[in-house]
Amino acid sequence: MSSSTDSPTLTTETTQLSPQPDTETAKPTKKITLKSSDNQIFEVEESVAMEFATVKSFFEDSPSTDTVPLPNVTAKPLSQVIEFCKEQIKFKANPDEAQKKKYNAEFVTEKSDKDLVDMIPVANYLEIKDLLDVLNQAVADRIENKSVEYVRSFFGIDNDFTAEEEAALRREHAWAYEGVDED
Amino acid sequence: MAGWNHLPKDLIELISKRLDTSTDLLRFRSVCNSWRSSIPPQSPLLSLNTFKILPNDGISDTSFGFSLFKRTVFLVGLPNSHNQTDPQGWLVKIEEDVPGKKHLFDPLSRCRSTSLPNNLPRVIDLMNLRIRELGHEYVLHHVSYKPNSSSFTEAGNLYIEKVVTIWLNSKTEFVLLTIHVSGKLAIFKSGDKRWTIINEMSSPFDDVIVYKGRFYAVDNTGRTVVVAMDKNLGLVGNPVFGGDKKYLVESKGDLLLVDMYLSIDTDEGGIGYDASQDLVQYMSERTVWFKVFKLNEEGKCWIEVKDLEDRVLFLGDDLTFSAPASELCGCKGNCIFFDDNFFYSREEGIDGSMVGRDIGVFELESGCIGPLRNFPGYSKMFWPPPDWVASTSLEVSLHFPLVLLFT
Repeated sequence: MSSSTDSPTLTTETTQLSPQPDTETAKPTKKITLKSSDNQIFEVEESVAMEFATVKSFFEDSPSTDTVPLPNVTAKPLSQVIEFCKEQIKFKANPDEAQKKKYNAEFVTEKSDKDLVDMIPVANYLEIKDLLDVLNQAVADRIENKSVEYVRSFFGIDNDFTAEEEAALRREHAWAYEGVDED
Repeated sequence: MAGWNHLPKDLIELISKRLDTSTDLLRFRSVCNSWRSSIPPQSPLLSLNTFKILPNDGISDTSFGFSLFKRTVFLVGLPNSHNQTDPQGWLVKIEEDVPGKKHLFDPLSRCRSTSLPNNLPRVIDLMNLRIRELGHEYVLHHVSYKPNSSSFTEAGNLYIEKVVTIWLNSKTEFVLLTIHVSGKLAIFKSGDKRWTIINEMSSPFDDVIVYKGRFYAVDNTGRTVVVAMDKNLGLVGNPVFGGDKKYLVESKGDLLLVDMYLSIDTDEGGIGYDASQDLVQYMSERTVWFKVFKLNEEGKCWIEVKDLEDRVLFLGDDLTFSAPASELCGCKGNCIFFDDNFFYSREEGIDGSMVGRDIGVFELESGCIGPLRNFPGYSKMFWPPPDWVASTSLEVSLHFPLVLLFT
């Protein structure tokens, strides 16, 4: 423990986050402003914003900023991601694995295919690992057993294979089987 | 955000790792060029389903060793966009010897499908069908020193117990679990010199399964254990006694115990055999009833389940599996299909359909039990293949000369 490399800011933050249920409401919470690519402003509590690894490192690099621009993220998926992270903060304060699992399952169940597909790049960009895990599993479950064409429309992807490539694909997908042995 | 065609490769790969079956993975790679290049093709060891020869030391001295074959049971259906009123799920078991060359099997037994209907093409295009992999089975084939010696066939039949397999992280190493002729469990890890027989046994084991990545085994009282990689057995379910043969089945994430009741009474007239013609059949036991239990892990006990709702259980020789009735042809659920040696007659219907094969049906609600031929609606999911199988394959044969596919 002699060579702790933690920055002073991080140390302060740790003490702030230590469990003090009585003072939680009284403590003034710092807000951070996030700006989506379509210029919508989101004010979130610092603890929520710190769930976004990308935002966190942005602050570590330039602590004086008050607004974080997110040029790759549109408002709708961002608002859903914030909603998810707010809940995760509660679970961090009061760990309840069963409740967390239930919440995560409900969070994805009620989302449309498009919502899920739009959130994945955002969760990836903001580096929210828990959410990314939940989303990836949810889309994998939804495309299970489905045809290739279904998967394309699910993600909104155009088929960019040439006719020759498509023919080769079909061969991969075909069962060429043998009947009864002749010998 | 950039379109999905251009997402970081590692993100595409992360999603692909959540896909459970090789069919889903193959489809995922077929979406577009960038996805295809993001995900490596499956390792040749897994797609080439024949493994190198394994030693037989410890469980059998009749032959040189075993080779392991993998078979997969698929539920094939038309995509939902076809709006068919009746779900047209067709069950088929496929074994792959060399890539691209498949054998069709009866889904519940060890028999190769015979008498293929003339209208069934030799190539089936699966790209735009729904395919659900219901399970894999592994079969040990004996390999003799002298493949042509007369003892070969005999040896091949000696070892017929079910084998279950767990792949270890690397996907090149595996562990096999089977039931030795003594009724004890036998375990083999790739690289081992010999099989290990686990001596702990209170009653002979009936069935083995892989459930949530771990080996489970049930003995003929229903006592159920989890089998650790270090060969230790841990009790997970106390005996239920009752019937004569126990099966383990996974259904919707639950572990079920199916207890099969046999009877040797032969005075029933309904089966229609001539005892003087077939003594073996005369002596056979008859399946008369089933009970189903669900594991209560905390209580380490099996709780009887009276209603499977829309689930259908399948008890095969080498594999048990389950499926939703909504995806099966002509099936309303809450029933069990089993490979039964009593409903013996192998009569064939018109067009080589095998309505009379030794598949039995048990309906939980009514308690009705009988051979598949007594339940005409149910046979559609087995044989002959539905018409649309032929029509979708036509498309492929236009794309590829058949000769290419059989080389």
